[in-house]
Amino acid sequence: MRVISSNYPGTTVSFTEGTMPFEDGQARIIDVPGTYSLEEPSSKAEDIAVKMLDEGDVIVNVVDATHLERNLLLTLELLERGKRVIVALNLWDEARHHGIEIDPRKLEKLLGVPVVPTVAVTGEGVRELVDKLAAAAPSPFPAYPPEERWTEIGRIAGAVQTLHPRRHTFLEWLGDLSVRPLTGLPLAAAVMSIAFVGVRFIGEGMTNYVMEPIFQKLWRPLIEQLSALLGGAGFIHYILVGNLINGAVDFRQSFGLLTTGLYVEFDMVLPYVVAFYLMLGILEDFGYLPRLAVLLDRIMHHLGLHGWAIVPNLLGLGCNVPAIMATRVLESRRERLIAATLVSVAVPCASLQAMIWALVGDPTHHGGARYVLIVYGVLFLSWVTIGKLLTTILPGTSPELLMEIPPYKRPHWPTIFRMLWLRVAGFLKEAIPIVLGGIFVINILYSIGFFDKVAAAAAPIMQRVLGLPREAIVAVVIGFLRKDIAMGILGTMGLTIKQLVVASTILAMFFPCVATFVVLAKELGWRDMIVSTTLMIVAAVTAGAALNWVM
Amino acid sequence: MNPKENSVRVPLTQLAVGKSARVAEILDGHGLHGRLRKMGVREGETLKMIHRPLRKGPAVISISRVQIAIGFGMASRILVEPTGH
Repeated sequence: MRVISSNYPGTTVSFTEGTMPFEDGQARIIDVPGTYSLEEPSSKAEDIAVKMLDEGDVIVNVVDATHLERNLLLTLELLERGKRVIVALNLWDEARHHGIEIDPRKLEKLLGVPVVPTVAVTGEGVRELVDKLAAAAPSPFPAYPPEERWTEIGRIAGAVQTLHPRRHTFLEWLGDLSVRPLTGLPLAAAVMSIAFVGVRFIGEGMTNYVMEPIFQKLWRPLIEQLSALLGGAGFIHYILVGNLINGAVDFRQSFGLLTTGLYVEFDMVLPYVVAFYLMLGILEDFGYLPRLAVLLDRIMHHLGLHGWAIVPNLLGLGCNVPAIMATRVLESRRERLIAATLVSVAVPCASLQAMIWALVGDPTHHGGARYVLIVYGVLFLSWVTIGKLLTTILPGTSPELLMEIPPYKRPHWPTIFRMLWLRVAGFLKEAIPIVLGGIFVINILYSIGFFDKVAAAAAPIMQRVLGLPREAIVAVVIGFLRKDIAMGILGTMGLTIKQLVVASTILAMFFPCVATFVVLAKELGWRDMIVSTTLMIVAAVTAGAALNWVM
Repeated sequence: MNPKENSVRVPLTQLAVGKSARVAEILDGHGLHGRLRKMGVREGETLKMIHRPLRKGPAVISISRVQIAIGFGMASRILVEPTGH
């Protein structure tokens, strides 16, 4: 079945849909945004869900077997509205693990519609579900006034459910520990450190043991042949191979499409992206993120956000684009503005981080971990400061945390790797064309002297305030396109380590890369956007100047 | 059973960890009632305290076998009757 993702017309609410063969034709299947109830929709997504339900012929009501009572509310509402419903009693295996035994036949009789136990993740029961789709018919279920619904739900659940008592498991105990500050904060620090080390380790491992050999042993000879073929000079050589440094192809500095373009993305950045999303996926699947949100809730309130806002910020460490899209889950415009601004200004994406480590952390060029830490430190400081600033000057208050904390579960590796694959594929599909296209355009602009003019214009600020050579403005301008290439350009300028630190920090904080810019504009709207970007520019220059002065 | 014990109501934020209580009343504000109800926190439901808020942090409770985190302000508006388990 082919599945595509689309937006409900006129909104930013997205849904997925697909088609599958059904009876003697095709059936269109639409995944409606999750909702607990059709009344009192508490978000735009739920609003849309209510509208979508009117358009369907048959509604597959996916019920979480581990939380029957809560899910039955929606079921009852659907039945009362006379919809054709079939119930998929999902997470059937999880329910059994929790000692919950449900009698699907009895439930079927009580509700008046087909009920099929399913385990969506493995596909169990899905065949039966499809087979019974045709049998879905409106149920002669009586309508209940809202107060009486819950008693009815209680009655139904009581009739079909048997609960077998279980002992408090290890994972539950761990869950409780994770949430209490006394044990939870040290645990969080440990988890974050392990995640950080893991990303570095896997990232560097992939770079050193997989990508470097490929580039040096396989690609280099091919490129050198191409270079020789083109005579080592000329426009095509310039575009494809770039400049020869000391007579040889230097993957970092040559700046050709086939050299630096491919090298930066595949050797330096991709390993980090993979490593980051792998770690994130494990934490996500395990169920750690909501607990982290609870732990950090109070601190986040000082910044005008609530605990869950940590998620977009964490996502931002991978790529700012999905991170800003994730701010949609925050309920108020104020929170969304603060969170999105913080992400764009102070959270460096994996590509940028990879380049920072590669350039600022390079011991052969007087760099080291110490300097990288300075960059991270300044970014973190900015994050806190700007958050505090925004929450003080923006009117209004932010809503409180109200969220479910799912139980810890053993990581399901197939799901984790599938998510990893989706995210990495997304990165490749989006980044590669922009990077290659960008390098092409940049090379053209270089050759016509565009950057010289820009450099001359920005020279006073660059040199006096920031202590950088005037050419560095080029990197900042290119940072609008993509920050990793911009870092790459900085790498060709022979800067001192102090200059690299200042430049990296400014690059990270200044105007977002074009992809982020587009998403930011869509999410915030033009007015908030102006506030946001002005802040970014001011913050970046301030931080750079301060660093220049202090170091 | 001591009748006086039955009608003692405290805000959720004052319930000790590990204790069970029944939701007695939800002081309304900002549609709090609706939001909490959808999460399963309703009058008459029994809950158990997992984590009591430190200063102004969130409370974590277990209700209908689901764990929920509730911000301090909201939690202090939920009045419960301890059931002494």
